[in-house]
Order: sequence, then C-alpha cells, then structure tokens
Amino acid sequence: MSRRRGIRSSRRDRYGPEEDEKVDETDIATAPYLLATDDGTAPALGPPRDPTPLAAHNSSEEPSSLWKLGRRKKSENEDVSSEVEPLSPQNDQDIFRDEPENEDDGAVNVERGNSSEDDEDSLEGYDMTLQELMYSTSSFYAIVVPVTITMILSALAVVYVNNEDTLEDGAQNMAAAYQFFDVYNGSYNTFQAVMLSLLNGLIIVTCIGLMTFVIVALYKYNCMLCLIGYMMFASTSLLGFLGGHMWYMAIQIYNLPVDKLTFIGVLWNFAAVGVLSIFYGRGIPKYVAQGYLICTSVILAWHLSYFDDVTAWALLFMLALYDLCAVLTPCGPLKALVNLMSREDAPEMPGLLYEAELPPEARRPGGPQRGRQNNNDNSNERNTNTDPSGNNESRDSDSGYDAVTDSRSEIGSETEGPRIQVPLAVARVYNLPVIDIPPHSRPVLAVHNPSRSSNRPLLGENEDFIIPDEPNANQLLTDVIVQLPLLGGRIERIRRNGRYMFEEKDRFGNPKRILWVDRQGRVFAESADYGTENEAGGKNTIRLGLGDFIFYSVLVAKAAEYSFTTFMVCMLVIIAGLGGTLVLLSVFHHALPALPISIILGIFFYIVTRFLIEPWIESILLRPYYV
Amino acid sequence: MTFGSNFDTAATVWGSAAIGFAPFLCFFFQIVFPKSQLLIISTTSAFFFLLAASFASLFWYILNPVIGLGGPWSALIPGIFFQFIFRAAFVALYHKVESVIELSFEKTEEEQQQAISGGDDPNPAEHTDLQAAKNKLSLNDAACGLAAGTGFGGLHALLLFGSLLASETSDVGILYQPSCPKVPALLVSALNTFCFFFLDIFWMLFTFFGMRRRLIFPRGGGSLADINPLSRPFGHYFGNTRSGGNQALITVLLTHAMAAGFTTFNVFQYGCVFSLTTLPALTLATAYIFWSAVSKIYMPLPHSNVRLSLPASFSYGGGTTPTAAGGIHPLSSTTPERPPPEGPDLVEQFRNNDD
Repeated sequence: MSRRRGIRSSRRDRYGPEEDEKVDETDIATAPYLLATDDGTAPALGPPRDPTPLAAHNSSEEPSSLWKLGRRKKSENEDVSSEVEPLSPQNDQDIFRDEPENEDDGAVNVERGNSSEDDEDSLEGYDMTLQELMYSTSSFYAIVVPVTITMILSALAVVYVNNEDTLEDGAQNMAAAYQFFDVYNGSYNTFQAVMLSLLNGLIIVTCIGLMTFVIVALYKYNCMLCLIGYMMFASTSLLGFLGGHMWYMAIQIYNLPVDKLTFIGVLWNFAAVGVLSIFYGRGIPKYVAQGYLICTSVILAWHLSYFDDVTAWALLFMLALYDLCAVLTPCGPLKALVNLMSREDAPEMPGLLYEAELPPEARRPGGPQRGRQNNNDNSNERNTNTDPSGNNESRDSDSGYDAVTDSRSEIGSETEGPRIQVPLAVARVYNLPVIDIPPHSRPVLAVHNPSRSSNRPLLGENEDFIIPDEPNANQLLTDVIVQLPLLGGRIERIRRNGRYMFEEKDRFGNPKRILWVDRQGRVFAESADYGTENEAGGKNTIRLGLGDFIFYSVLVAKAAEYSFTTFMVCMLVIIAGLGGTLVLLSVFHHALPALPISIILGIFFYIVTRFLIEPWIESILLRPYYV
Repeated sequence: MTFGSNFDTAATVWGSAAIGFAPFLCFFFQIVFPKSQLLIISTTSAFFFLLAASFASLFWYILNPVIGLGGPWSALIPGIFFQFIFRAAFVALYHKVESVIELSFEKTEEEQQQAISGGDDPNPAEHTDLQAAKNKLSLNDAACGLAAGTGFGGLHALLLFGSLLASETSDVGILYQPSCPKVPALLVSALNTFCFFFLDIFWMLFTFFGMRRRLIFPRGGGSLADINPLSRPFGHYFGNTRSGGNQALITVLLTHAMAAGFTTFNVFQYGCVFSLTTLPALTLATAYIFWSAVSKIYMPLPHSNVRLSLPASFSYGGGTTPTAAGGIHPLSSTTPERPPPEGPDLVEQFRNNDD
C-alpha cells in the first residue's frame, strides 16, 4: 500500500522566451536585495506607483506529507490579469528610498528580536501567543468538518454497503492478500492472534516505509513524471475500480436497477472528473476536489475495513507508531519528504493533501515580526520558531532568510548594498542602477567596445553593455545585475506554481507585494485584495494528509461495525486528538504526525467503551433508568 | 413483517430520535457550531463526559459484577458523582485556558504599545487584527457555559439514548417495557433524554457559576444569615459569593440525584407515570432555581481571574444595591474594565452589599 501523491508539472513557463532557459539560481539571484532609489546614477527609471498595502506575508511553502499536519499558503494559478495595469517607472517611492542609517535601528531591532526571543523562550507551560491561539482555533475549526464528514460517510459505507457474506469474503480476501500469518483462518488463541496480527502489521508497515523511501527518492531526483503518472494511475484505479466495486456491492445488496452501460459510463466520468479535479484543478471549483478527496478516503477506508478485527486494530496501532517515527526521527522517510517538499522550488504533489482555507485573521505564527528580526538576526533559531512546520525551518534556512543575512554580510559590503539579478523590467520599475549583466544576457544587451584592449577577453566581466531607453520585450525580460542600497527595501526571488516571481519587502523585511513579469516585459504587482490575504495571490490554508483521513476513517468504521456507542466515542476522541495535535503544532513549531494521538486514544477508548461503558449503559437502560 | 409494522417501527424510531436529539441539534448548530472557540469548548466538554462515563462504568464494574452490589444505584451513584467531578474539572480547565488567552492579549497589547511609543509601527493593521482576535477568542461564562452544556449533554444523549436508538432500528418490532406497557421504550427514553439535556445545560451553567465564585472569592468569612436566600432579591438568591457558588454546586448534585432517582420509578410496573411527570417538573424547577438564584448575578467581574486578597474575617452584609466602583456587579456588559479596589475599600463594599 503506497501513499498517494499527486504532482503537477513543475516545469512551466516563467516568462517570455526564456522559459526553457535554466535559471541561474545563485545566491545572488535568490538573496533578498535592497531596492535602490533614484540617486541620479541610474537610468531614468522609477519605483512602482500605487504601492499596495500588504498584510502579513509568508512566502514559504508549507511542508506537506501524507501523515503530517502542515500549514501552507497556496498560491493559486494566476495568469496575468488584464484588469491589473502593469507598473510603470516612477520617479519617487518612499518605501524604497535609501533610508538614512539609524545607529539605533539594528540595536533596537536586535533588542526587540531578543526580547521577543526572550518572550518566546519564556513561554512555558500553557503560554501561547495570540497568533498561535488564533491559528490553532481556526485550524481546528477548518479541518474538523471534513474529517467528521469523512468518518461518518466511512462508517455508513462500512455498515450499510456490506452484509455478513461480503464481510466474510472480504476478510478472507484481505487475509490472503496482505497477511503473512493467516490470523483469520488460523486456529490461534487470543494472545497468539494479537501477537501475530502485530507482526502482520509490522510487515505491512515495513512495506509502506519502503515504498515511501522509493517515493522520496523519486521526488528527490525529480522523477516527477514517474510520480505524477503513478499517482494519477492510483487515483484512477481507486476511484474507478474500488469505487466501482463498492457501488457494485451496493447494487447487489439493495437490488438497485442499474444497467452495465450506465454503470461503466458513470464510473468512467466519476474517475475522470476526480483525477482532473485533484491533479489539474484549473477551472474546477475547490469543493469538487475536496469532495473527491473525501470520496477517495471513504472508498479506501471501506476497502481496508475488510481486515478482521484483530488485524485491523493491530495495523492501526503499528501505523501510529510508524507515523511517529517517520515524521519525528531524522532518518524517517516522511521527514525527508517533508524537507524535500519544503524547498522553494519544490514541485507540488496534489492528490496527497486535503487543504482547508483559514480565515484571514488566522495568520500563521511569525509573520512580519519574523521578517524584521531576520533582517538583523543571524540566528536560525528564530527561523525555527517562525513556522510550526519543520519544512519552513529548513526551507527558510536554506533560502530566503539565511540569504538575507548572507546578502548583508557576504555579498554586500558595509558601504554598498548587495547585488541582485532581476529582469530589466523590474530594474526599470524600481530605478535600480544596472551594474553588470550575467553571461546569458550578454547576447541581448552586450555591446562590443572597439576601444578596449585586445588583451581583454571578448566576453569578460568588464564587457560594455548598454541599457536602451526603450527596450523591447526581449530586453525587458533579460536579467541584469543591479546594486541595491545598503538600507531600504528588498527583493527576493520566489517561485509560485512553477513561475518565478519577485517579492518586495520593506526595510524591516515586511512583505509588500509580489511582482511578476509577463511575456511582453510588463511588470505586474498583486491586486488590492492582497491585504485580505496573507500572501499575494495565495490563501491561508491548513493541510492534512490524505492518509490521516483514511486511517481515522478505518478506525471509526471498525468501531461502527461493533456498535453505535463505540462509533460515537471513537469519533469524538479522534476529533479531540486532532485538536490536541493542532495545539502542539502551534506550540512546537515543527512538523508533527497527525495519527499517533488520535489513533492511540481511539484504540484505548474503543476498548474501554466495549468492555466497560457499554455494559454500564445496558444496565442503566434496562428499566430504563437514566443518569 | 408487515408494511404497517415496518412503518410503525420507522415512525417510532424517527419520532423518538427527533424528540431526544432535537434540543442538542438545535443548540449545537445554532449556538456552538458557528464559532470556533465554542466548538472547541463543546468538544472538550464532551470528552470530559466520556471520561466521567469511563470512571463511572469502572466503579460500576467493581461494585456490581465484581463485588455483587446490584441494584440501580450501583450504576446511578457513580454516574452522578463522576459527572459532577468532571464538570467541575472541565470548568477548572476552562479557567486556566481563559487566563492563558488573557495573558496572550496582554502581551500582544504591550508589544503594540511599545511599537507605537517607539514610533515604529509598520503594521497598523495588527491593531485591527488584535481586536478581531479579541472578538473571536472572547470567552464569557454564558456562551461557554451553554456550549459546554451542549457538548456534555450532547454526548450524554448520544451514548445513553443513541445506543438504544441504534439497537431499535432493525425491523424486529417495537420494544415495550413493564414500566410503561402503553408507551414504547424508545419514546420513554427519548423523553428522559429531552429532559436530561436541558438539565445538563443548567447543571453546567450552575457549575460555571459555582466554580467562578470559588475562584474569585477566598475561603472563610460570611455569616449564617447569608445562607438564607430570601435575604436577597429575586435573581440573586444564591448571592454573588463563594457561599453562593457552593450552593450552586450543591444544587447540581441534589437535582442530579433527584433526577436519576425519579427514573428509578421505572422499576415498578406503570412507574413511568411517576417518572415522566416528576422528571419534567424537576427540569422546570431547576430552570426556576437558575432564574431566581443566579440569573441576575451569573456573569462574573471583568477581571474575574484576579483572586481578591481579603481577610478571612470579613462578613457579608445584606441588601443594598452595589456601587459601580469595583463592587460585585449584576449581569451587565458595561462594567468598566478595571481591577477592583484592594484593601479596605473592597472590604467595605462587601460589608455594605454582596450583590
């Protein structure tokens, strides 16, 4: 049983004719840079007009794993909107002017950062920041509804799309297919059956772990076509074949009048739309994709519920332990996958995660303040506290925020700011002085200087170049290297939906807007609605792995097979465990497994309910009494 | 099985379900579900009921199957006791969470004040965010008491009535019991569930009131005259004191025991005549007690998590109306948000009036 993962193409056009050109992802290119202003030395360019007020921004992509709770700010696919006017050069822009250096700035910010660090370090026991509280409550509220719906549907499916014959046949088939030790048909006592079931669970979990490592390897070495293909095949099979099997079972049990052509036609459409909505998504409402993810979970939970009782509960227990190890241990495959997916240029894998939107006020802990602190603080501990997800930690430490400190301390000197490689169009908008051009831009902008020495190489770094007053589209899209002032705003290259964009930040590191360049060399900023979202073009979301849905549903379905009381109790404790995990996610600020708490609580209370609470209730309802 | 029998069974099942679960569903979807914090409170209180049921069943298992002390009270007494304990434990946890949230508000406000005073406030939007967060996370004893009661009573109904309902959904006929030969057992349980859900709401509200007063007011003090509820006006009978809080908690225990005891009439033939009349009467009586004893003084002080430092030797007075300056205020949302005055002023307040 492998994890379902879906991916989209990670190689999309960035902009213009350079779409096929590999991006030179040097530290210079990826580091955030200060913005220059009109200091008279640069060509007559200007800053963008109408700066859009920004809300807290987080450019990091959340880690994602099958069994991990992560938060992500997803940016939807955006085309260049014709409604948005491109930015044009202006002469003055307060945000990007070279601020006079304030001697106290660094000290204040560091002190503030330190005090905040102290505040955060002093948070102990039940102390949580307001943002963490808001995020926890909103995350719980957003995720509990789909989880509850999935569990209820799974329980209904298992109870009502089955009879005794189908359960027995299913148990035998599952035993033959998955069990190394045949507990269902073998003559073992209870203790032996439990031990052998645990061994069977261990074998299954080992296979799952090995397949996860294969997926990690494929993802690491960018074998995305392979992964995409497999995920789509798996989704099609699950929706088509397993979903068809479930429907066929319902037809047989309830004698539904359905002909073969209708059956095949409906199934084909069901599977096709499901795969399209999960893996493609454009033009399809989000609730359709969410509904299909719920259907996927229900169908797979219905299938997995055919395990006999002892094997099913043992498997759930082993899966909880596996999730704990796979996410929290350094050698865990899920931790490796989370770290890989947290990279800035990591391709997405749809079909793997359920994504629920959060309200705007529920921002991920560590927004603008973090940026302010990161401007002045070289400590990675702040980065670790930025987000509850470990991927953001590693991603931030690998790219944006470390690059901030790198740009100030290594790339730039104390008297001049760092250099950045941006398209000429962006440089024109912000009136940035062009210092040099990268090698791949020389065919477009380089000018042969006949006065230079013959000893100098033809294409050396001192090659002359000229920035035309009215560049064409090709020249606007060409990268140039500009120098930014020491203090002031910053620009950071980010990647969204396979496209490279630029994030503008103020001198405190607070994100201001997102810029991108279209094929005609026009620069666009995010729309005015940016202030209502946590990042430009993106939504504030929380993601839960599909595996969590599936195994929560399996547990509840097995409980529902026994009685309504166990079903209600298990559903409640799973929701309570999920809430507890979300609270821990906000407190510990790194990736956490979503299964262990809920599964362990579910198993415990299933046993308590079955052997204690239900007999107590039966004795009360005998007359009936009530208490 | 004839069509008429199936129809009767279905009608009985659906009708009983409507009677038994309608209050819970209405409270849940109208009051609890629209707000995230109330949903969390409701879920947590339901979990605490589960813990109470687990402990009660464990004690019953020790008393009845193991020791052999049979009878209805071997199941009822642990149920009453542990539900009371876990209601109080839930409210105690709620108070802790409330203090954490208030601490978060204070810290955020301090940071914003520092940013403003330092002239560095790049994110004025955070002020509105703070207010939005305050509104969203605002907790008060009334809403949270209702939500907690809904969760507690909801799981109570689902476990005790839902089990019976689920077992009766098959087409094997309608169950009648000797305690009520003319009324289906499902309907009797549904009516019991209906009454007990509202009782759970009031019991949780009483518990919130009582635990809050125990948190606010120190031990000691008071006089025997304070126990007389008629010494206070209508709506203040219990008094906004620690003693009043204790009275509220005792009311919970007594009414719960009475309610469970009334259901033991079902051990007799036609016992439902008594149980189905006394139980609704007790529900109405409990509602009246809430209305008369705590309704006007239910909401606590604005800084109700501040423990007042009062000497144990002070005594409550009687009868005069409270003042606005730091006294104990009746149910009001316009109380100025400042800590109550310390020392002799407050002692004087208490000497003059405790309501």
